[in-house]
Amino acid sequence: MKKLFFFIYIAIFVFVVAVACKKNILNPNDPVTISMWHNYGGIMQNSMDELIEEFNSGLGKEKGIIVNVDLVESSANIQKNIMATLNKEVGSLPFPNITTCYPNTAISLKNSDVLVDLKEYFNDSDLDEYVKSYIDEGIIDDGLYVFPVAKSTEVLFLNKTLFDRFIASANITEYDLSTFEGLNVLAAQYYAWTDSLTEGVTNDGKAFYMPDSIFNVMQVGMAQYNDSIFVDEQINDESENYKYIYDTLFDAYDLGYISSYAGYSSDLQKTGDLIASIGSTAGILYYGDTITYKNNTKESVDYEIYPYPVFNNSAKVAIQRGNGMSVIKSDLKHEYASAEFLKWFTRKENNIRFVIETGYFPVKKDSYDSLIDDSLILNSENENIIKLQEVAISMNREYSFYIPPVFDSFDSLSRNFKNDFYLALE
Amino acid sequence: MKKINGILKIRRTLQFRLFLLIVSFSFSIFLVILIVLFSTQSLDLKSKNLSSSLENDFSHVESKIKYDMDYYSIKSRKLAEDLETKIENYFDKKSINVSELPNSGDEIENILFELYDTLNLNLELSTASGTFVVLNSSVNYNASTDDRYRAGMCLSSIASGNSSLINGDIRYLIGPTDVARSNGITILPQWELEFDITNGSFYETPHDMYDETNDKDFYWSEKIIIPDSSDEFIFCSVPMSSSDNFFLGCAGFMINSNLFKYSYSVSNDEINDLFLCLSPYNSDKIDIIEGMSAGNYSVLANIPEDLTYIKKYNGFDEYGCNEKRYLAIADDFELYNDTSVYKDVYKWKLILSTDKSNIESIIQEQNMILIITIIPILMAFIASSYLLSKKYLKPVKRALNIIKTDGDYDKDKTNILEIDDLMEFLAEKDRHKEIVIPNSNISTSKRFGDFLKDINTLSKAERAVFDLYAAGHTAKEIEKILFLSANTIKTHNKRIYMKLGVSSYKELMVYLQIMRENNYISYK
Repeated sequence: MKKLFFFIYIAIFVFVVAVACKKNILNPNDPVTISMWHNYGGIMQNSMDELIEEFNSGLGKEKGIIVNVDLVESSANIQKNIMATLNKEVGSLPFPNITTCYPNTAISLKNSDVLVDLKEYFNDSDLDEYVKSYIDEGIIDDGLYVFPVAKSTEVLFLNKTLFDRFIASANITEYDLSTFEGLNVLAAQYYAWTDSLTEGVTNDGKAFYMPDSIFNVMQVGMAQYNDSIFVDEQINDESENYKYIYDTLFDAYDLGYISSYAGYSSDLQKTGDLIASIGSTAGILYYGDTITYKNNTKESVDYEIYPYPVFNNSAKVAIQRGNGMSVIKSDLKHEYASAEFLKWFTRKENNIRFVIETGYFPVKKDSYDSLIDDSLILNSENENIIKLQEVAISMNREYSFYIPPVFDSFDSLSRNFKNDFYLALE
Repeated sequence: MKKINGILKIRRTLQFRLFLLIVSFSFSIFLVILIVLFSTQSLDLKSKNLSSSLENDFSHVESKIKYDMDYYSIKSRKLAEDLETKIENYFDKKSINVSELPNSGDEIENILFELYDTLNLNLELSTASGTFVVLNSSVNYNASTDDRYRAGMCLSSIASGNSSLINGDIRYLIGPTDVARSNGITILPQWELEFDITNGSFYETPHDMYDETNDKDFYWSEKIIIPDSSDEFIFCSVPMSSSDNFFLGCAGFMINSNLFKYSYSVSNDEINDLFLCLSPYNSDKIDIIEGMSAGNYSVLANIPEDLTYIKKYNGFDEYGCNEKRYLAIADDFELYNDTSVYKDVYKWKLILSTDKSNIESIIQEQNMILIITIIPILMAFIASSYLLSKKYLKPVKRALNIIKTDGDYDKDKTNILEIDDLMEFLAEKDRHKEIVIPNSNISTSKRFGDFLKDINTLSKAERAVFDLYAAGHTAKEIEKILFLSANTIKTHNKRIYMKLGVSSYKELMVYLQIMRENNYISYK
């Protein structure tokens, strides 16, 4: 018995020493530099740069951490760079300490034992502060490998100026923007109206709206009917719900009511070639306050933002999007420092500042309340972002969120569906 | 201090003199070392160190920027040549004179379709932030009196940093949307259909120069901010012309502020808050706001709009903007080669700078450290001098004390030859003095009786020494007689005193005197 107590005592002692050592890993007189790759470039880059500088000169200086951004690219190219490094391709860069990462990329990294399980640095009460579904999205085999820093969903962006002009001209008094069926009705009316504007030319009406990802609509639509688009990692195309959703969309596409443009719907919005878009909230900055016509004349426009549409008689479900940040295995010092940065970056005050400048959603539960209760939402200089955050908060309360599953063939299934869909339209 | 002959004089002790000697000697050595170190520049002044360090950083980044800018200049020229050929070919195919370009608003989109691949490929294969072409035409060329717009196309790379991919994400900044949509390229939030040529000199300056000289030199514009965004670019713009010298427009590469910041930020171990600027300048004034800057975010948020040269300061160039002062390393930056028409017209400066107070506080800090380091050294010198002098004189003082107090010369040895010899000499001298016997009947005292009895307890060797003392010999003589060393004699003495119960040589002599007087000793 005495021996047992002795060993327990030793174990506790070692644990306490280990924890104490972990806490004292960093030395402000000999700071550790952590490298980062992220995809918050372009118009968001200043916001990100400013936050990183603030960290480096504040908590980072205090603890002995310097964050250095080595690479800023689109999320797709970041994933390409990561895979190039993982596969040791010629010319690939060395891994950074932290990188933005999608869950499906994280699986490959985790399977190659390259990623840090962030549960080693965040205990249960730390993680409780975050929106649960955001944390769940980054869990692979019980470990937390993709840490949420900024999330997004999809919403309906409506060019209110052009829409009001249309419904006034077409004498439309009732309409429904909350359902796909309602949108299709409006789309048919818009097509007919625009067709009528070109005298002597028929069937040249314009598309009314467009979702950026048809596959996302399919996934979310099925989730709205409490069904799953995947069965055994294959498309569940035998489901009645699937057929209904598919037909509802396909018919509208086929008739030209929905645009089949290969790029982002915001591109078409810029020239007034589309009235409504269903796209990521992270694209809010692409919606300006003017549109430009082909003769280079401009018109000031207002946008309205609406919650993600639902299919008739279905539940309010929207997709949960946005990548997170993963920490690459290196040494205790760098891993610990990386975790400290993630904690700081997702602190309510810092996270809120980032989201009101970029249009992303905050990741902590109390941040949503603060956006409204503390009127922080009004701190944004962008009217559209204020509108977006208001919608985000209401969706956060009323919607449940669908997280796309992660498996190896997901990307190819998505790609093939899209190709087949558009091919069928030709 | 003491009055001697009525004059107040400072009487220095031997120890104080020795202390002064050691202190002076130590300070002299220290001073000599410092002089040698300074004169051989082994111990550089801090500001000189800082300016050298910054010069190294500056030189390194300067050559890097020069290489890159020369590269972009050459590539811009090549790009413009390729594009002007394509434009001319387009008009040839259409059997339209290329001089009709300004009136060919309807053809612009088709022309730009033709030019897209060249622009895109050039951007993909470079590390520049963008490529552009501005045509001497507009969709509204004849329709409006507003002459500020020109048709064209601008592709922008959103990548910053050291991507291993050569085709970092390319976005569409300016141009007809149909070109972007057909090529599957995302249109940026700050997209415009045409260039506003009043927003910078990237078009007018090369256009005017071409009209004047027919010269197709590249021209680097000042910093241009894209409207409704925080994007900042400098353009390397090359005029395009047809084979019969009709001005077709301009084309080239662009560098944005993020690329400049990521590529050329300088960090120095000792000096914080550095910023690097490549800016146009005139006379002594550098237009910081018109150029590109690199540095950390908080520094860039507060850099001055311009800097005016003031003077040289401790190896640095001192610049000022209003009341603020900056210390910098700066150099003329040759953006143009010797034959360029712009060479003497548009001058650029590269400057690596920080707030003057940053450098001064480093120097002050170093001076404080120097002072803080020197003071303990000096204190240590003084303390060790004091201790050394004290320790050195301790035996001397002890000896003097014994003499003063008429102590036992034999008992307290200092192990210093000269002092112990002196002590022995005095002891001997003392021994030869007449011993005055107190007028008491000591010869019959019990004590004397014990003394006599105790003589028999002496060893053979001790008795030999005792007898010689009794015979009136000195310690030195006894050494020679008995062939013994001084230490051996001293040892025998100690034992003799102990056994006979006497406390000193003097007391022994007294007893021997009594023995003689009472005929206890017979001289042999």
